[in-house]
Amino acid sequence: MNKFIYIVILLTFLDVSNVDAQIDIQFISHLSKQELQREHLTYLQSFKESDSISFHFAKYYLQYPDDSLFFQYFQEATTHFQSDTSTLNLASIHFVNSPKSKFWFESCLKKTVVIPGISKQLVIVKNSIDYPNEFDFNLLPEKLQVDFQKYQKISAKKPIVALSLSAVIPGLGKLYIGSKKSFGLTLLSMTVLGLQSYESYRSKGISHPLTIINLGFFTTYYAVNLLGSYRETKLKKKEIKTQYLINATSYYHYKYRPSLY
Amino acid sequence: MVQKTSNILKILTKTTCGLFLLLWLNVGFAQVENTVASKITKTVLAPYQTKEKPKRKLLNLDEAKVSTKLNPLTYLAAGLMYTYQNVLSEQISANCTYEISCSEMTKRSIEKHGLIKGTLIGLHQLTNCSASIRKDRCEHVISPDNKIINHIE
Repeated sequence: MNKFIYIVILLTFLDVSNVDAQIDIQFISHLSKQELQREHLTYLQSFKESDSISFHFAKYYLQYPDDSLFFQYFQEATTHFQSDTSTLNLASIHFVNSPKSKFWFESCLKKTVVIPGISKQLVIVKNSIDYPNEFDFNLLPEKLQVDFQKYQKISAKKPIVALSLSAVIPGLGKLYIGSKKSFGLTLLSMTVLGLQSYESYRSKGISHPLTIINLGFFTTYYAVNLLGSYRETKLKKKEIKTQYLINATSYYHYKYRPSLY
Repeated sequence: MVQKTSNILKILTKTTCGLFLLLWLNVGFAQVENTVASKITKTVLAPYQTKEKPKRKLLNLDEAKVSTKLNPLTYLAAGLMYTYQNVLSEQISANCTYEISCSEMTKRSIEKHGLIKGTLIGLHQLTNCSASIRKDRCEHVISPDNKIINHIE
């Protein structure tokens, strides 16, 4: 009889612990702060699917980034996010410099009733990226204004113009995008190669092998200079945009220090 | 007399066996000590040991265009790069400004863009190989070991 009672009590206990278990927020917070990733995931997986567990899963995938899974859980727990501005802000900081920023700022963030402060400012940063010429830089904090102005300048530069300028004076396309050292190096080496080719042409004639080799080098170098200017303009545009976004992300992160738990 | 001699022989045999046993144990312990010492040495000196450079491949043309695969000059150029990387570069202990060296960049660009464009891209990096070039680049493309992080595009 006693054994039967024990078994019933044990089964009841097991049943309760499996189905109606309470999420221990403090424990999740501890797992998150100590970065115990595997334990964190195992703990979350031990619960049945619900809005609140989806919310914690979304936070988990924000801490250990997996954007598509984050979006999936975000859709399931949008109501929970509305009361947690800190997580929303962290998500905005995370997505501002990500290929999925458009999806986050234009569809996900708009689903929340109130957009928190930092997220609003990051929307402004996002707008400054999308429309640099129409954007008023005074809307940005002072520390980001210089970076934005650099981005604004470079976004107006065109690779084809850089190529044309380099065709006229070797390396000028690089000066056009602000790479002074690269311009100096290209101009110097092109001048040396040009003078060498001219000298061998003047002293030995056009059909001499040395002149042909020198002219071959000069032509190759000229083509390298053209292609280089074109590619470097594209690269520099990307680089300065990324640097601006990195600076914006770290600025908002260190100023407001939003945390997950 | 004979018994005495046999007794002495027995004692000598036992002593010799004992000595051999002692020697064997000594050698055994010495070997154990050696392995422990070598383990300690390995652990202590690990940060200062130079890593062996992985051998670089000749070419990987799996994703290249058919024209690139059929062009014999592609193989010639890649062969020259391969020889430079595995023979010359190691001898002159070249220290590149870029994370992906000029020769590696040329090789991979040839794989991706074909011979002409690939070579020009590689040459462009070579002509921009100077320490002062770092000043033209943004902070985030400079790695902690002061090299420019470049990608094959």
